[in-house]
Amino acid sequence: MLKIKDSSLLQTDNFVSSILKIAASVSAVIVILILGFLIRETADVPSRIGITSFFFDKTWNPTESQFNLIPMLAGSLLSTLGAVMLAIPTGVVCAVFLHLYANDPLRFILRRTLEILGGIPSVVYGFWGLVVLVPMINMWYPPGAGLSAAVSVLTIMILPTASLMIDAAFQAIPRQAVAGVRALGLERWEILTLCLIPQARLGILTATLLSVGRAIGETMAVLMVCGNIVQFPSSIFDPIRTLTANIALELGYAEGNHRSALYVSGILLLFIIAVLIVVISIYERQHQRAKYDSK
Amino acid sequence: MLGFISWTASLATFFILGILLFDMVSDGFRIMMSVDFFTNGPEKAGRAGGIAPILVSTMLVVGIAIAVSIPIGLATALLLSEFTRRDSQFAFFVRKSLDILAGVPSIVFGLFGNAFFCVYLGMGFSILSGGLTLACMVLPILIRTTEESFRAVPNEFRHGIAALGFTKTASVFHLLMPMAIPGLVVGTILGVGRATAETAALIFTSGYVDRMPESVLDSGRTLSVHIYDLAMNIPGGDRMAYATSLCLVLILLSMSFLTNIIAKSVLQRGIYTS
Amino acid sequence: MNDNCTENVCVMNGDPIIVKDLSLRYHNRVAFKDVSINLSPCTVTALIGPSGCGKTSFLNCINRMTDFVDGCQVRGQIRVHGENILSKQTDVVKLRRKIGMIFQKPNPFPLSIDRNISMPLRYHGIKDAKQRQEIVEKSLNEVGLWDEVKDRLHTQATSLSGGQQQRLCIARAIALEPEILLMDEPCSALDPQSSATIESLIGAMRKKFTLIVVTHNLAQAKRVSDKTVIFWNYEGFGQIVEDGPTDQVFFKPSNKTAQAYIGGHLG
Repeated sequence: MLKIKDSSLLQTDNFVSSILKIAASVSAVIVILILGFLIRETADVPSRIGITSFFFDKTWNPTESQFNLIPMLAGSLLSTLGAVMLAIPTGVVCAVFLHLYANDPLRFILRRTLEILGGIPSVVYGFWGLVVLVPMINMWYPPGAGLSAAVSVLTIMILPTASLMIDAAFQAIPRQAVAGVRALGLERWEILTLCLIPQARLGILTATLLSVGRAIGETMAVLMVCGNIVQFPSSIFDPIRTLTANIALELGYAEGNHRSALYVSGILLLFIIAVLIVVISIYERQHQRAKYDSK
Repeated sequence: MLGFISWTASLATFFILGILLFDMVSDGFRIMMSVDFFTNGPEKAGRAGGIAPILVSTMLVVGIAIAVSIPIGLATALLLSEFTRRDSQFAFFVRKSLDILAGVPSIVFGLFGNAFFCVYLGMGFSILSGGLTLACMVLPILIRTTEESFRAVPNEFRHGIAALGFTKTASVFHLLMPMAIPGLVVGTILGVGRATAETAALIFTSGYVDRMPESVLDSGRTLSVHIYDLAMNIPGGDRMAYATSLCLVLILLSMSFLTNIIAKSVLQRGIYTS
Repeated sequence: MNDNCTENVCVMNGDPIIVKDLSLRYHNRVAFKDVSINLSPCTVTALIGPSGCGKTSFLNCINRMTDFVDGCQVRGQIRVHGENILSKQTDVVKLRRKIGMIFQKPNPFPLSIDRNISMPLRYHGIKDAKQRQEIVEKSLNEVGLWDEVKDRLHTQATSLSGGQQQRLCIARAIALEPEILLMDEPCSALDPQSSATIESLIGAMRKKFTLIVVTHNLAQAKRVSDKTVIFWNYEGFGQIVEDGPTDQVFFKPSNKTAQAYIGGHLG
């Protein structure tokens, strides 16, 4: 008979499990800390500045106690809207190309290229926009830096990841579904509209929402090309300022109410992201339920 | 028609990458190759000289971020994949937190890091504050890849080793962890890449002092912050910004290259040890 | 297979495994209900029956592998040496050391052949490398694998053929000298020749361990087992319809369903 260790081994697992639980709580603690410190920095805002100031003051001029965030919120939303409206259709087209047109080596190279583009830091995109795009736009519509440059840089920045996500959604379609449509002898256009797009609907939607999140939260690339003037743009070539760029520009010297106002804009950003996360999870749950029901 | 559009879009992708790299390489390569680029500090506010202190600061910030996030990330991933049932309330709670963390914009991490590490904990603008802020930021990506690499181990091994009278803890150390190591390495490289590319979260946590840091409590400027500062605040800093960008992109490219090699070769070979 | 097996005596000391009112459900589906049976020590018991009648689930209860299944609820008692192994206080880790298991699909670890056996030994406290080597050789000999692999003990276990892998898994289990060995359709993933090898191995091991073998294959049950238990799916859940010495179950089954099943008219 072999000699075995006779200690109660089960206790090891319970012990290790509780240690791991403590470590795993760190993520939740960080979320709470982030919320807690954003709120802590803004706790006395309602009494000192008042919530309505952020929406109804004449303009954003913290040194004169003017705290209107709406122009910058508009800047964030407009640049995001423009970029997503350009990037998602282009992303679909890229993914279609990968699926229906490219041969294997080309597909491999294109995927790798997209991965590389997706990995380039946003500050590099911003810098490239500043020295290449802005002067280019400046030749036709001075001053160059503005909403259009911000939209272009954001589009280029989110396009690779969006294409890859849509491509993954296409790949997830069961082979039989595609083969079935192909067997009917349909044109590529019909394969696309009858099979690929309807089947990958949820994937495209998720890619869209994630792109919105990335674009709205992006700081560096936008900051370097958007002109940074607080105003409602009257044309797409007007300079704008986004919420994120505003924080990056002013946090360095902001004090008192000004600093609090920047943290309020942080909360606003977080709120937008939270709404997006909730929307995505609702869609995914609905999709899962639909899948479950059809079985 | 569809074909034409597709071809154009794809060529445009290559074109964008082409001009991006072309500008960087043509303007930056010669400077990067000069002898003192990697050995000297910036001179004339960065218009001349090199990036030695900036490289050191980058390594310190990223090093701290990874050193702090790996143990926490590994532990969380282990808990999620091995020590809880899929329907556990606690796991659900942790997963939701991670989803939120993954979605928080980097500038908000900057706001948080500034308020918590720099001001509340009194670390000031320092490499330590920056590293810790980044640690919070890379945690979700690290945990996701690590958990996936544990989940990639087939259940038959889990059951097999449990039937031999191993505790869960022992089965993790003797079998699952060695099998998941390639995935862990890939996850770590992804985390390092994400941390190296980050700018917005660092401007107001690790700051932008471009001197050689003497301790982790000194402020230090990372590569990406250096690019930002040269491009936005230093007239005539473009050439150095190109060189620094090239340097940063090369670092990230080699990391993604490494990830691919590891994912391809080691992952398929399994964990043969005699 | 070889005389290493016969020189050992069974370690069960004659205590049967007493199963009393055992029920198992997954979420809201009942796998089997109110199963009571005594499983004799030091014999080969075959569990047979059509698929979906709960025999594999029953087997998984005996070494608590059911703990791994989400939403799986087990009620009732299983007594080994008088102790109810289903109670919360049971040290399942110790339990599984005493009750080995062979799975349907061979699952050697992606380690070398040698490490597949020596790693668990080392974990269970055999610190002496020489002693480990002896046990590795002895257990590989018992499953008749030693001569086939002695020159390549340090190559990947997954490079072995399916039958060899399954025998390695058996060697790995018996190296720990369990009292009971549970086998879940050990031959179903193997070719006929490998199955025959495993079957003769089961025959050789019957004196040493209490073997409980789940199988689909009636002929196999007849060949290898001393006792046979027939599971059947009645009214949506599994239950035992016939049990006893194999000869009696196969030639004089008392239950109508069992008769039809043995006769090939049902299942």
